[in-house]
Amino acid sequence: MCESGEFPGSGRGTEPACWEAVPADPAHFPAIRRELGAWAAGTGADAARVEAIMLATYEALANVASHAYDSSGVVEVHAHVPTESRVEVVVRDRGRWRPPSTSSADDSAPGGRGLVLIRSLADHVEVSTGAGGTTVRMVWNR
Amino acid sequence: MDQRERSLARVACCGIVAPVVTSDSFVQTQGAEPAALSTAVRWHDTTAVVTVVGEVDMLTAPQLDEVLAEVLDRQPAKLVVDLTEVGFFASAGLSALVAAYQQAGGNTALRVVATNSATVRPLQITALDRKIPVLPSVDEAVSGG
Repeated sequence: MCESGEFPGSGRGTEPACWEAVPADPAHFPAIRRELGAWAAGTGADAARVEAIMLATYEALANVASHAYDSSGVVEVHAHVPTESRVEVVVRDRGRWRPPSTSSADDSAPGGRGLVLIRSLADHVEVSTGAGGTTVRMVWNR
Repeated sequence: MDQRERSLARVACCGIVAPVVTSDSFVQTQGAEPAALSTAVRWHDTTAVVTVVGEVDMLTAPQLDEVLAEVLDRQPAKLVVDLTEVGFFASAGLSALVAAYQQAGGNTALRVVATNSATVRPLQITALDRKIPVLPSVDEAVSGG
């Protein structure tokens, strides 16, 4: 999605933005959400959409930091505009967090409230978990 | 007035002389802007108002947790959490409010003041606003039932 050499926040207009090999440590997340917010605004998204993208992505990162790894690991964020009418953000880790069932009434389960936010803030969400890790794909239609 | 607060600074606010406790924390990220949160506690008789300014996320929510727990330990009749100046509010912040709600039990009436979408939306999405009344101003939260 992102060619090597691109750096965070380099996206302009519909250019993708990527954050690779980010330590799954909450200390790194505020900078990413701000850079992602700037990128999203650059795609022409309105303020509410930018806010939704920032919060949903932050919650996906928070899940990784909370549940994906025993000690340390990395996470990547890819943001792009696959078609003129869509914004897509993918958060991928190599860990083993299991997304809580959203059918459960217990939204206080670890990650439960965050996932409720993600599913409500994005127009479309896919969570796929496998041996290689977990991918959260969030799509916003314009 | 709580005796423990006598040593604290006194400032005039809104016509009421009240002790103020402030705490600022700047959680430094590596090579990036800090995630900053500051809190201030004001007492109006038996009502405590905690004013929160900044961003509430995984890094800063423990500070909010701590402040709310400390205030609730003093068993105010009402605790107003003012999020008017909060520009980012993640699920960690919601969890802090849920913990406060649980600690408050039937002893303290918990109220939240939220006016911008960064705070109102997460409260609505998770239906926390049905458990904790969310009001548009501190005055209404303090004076209302």
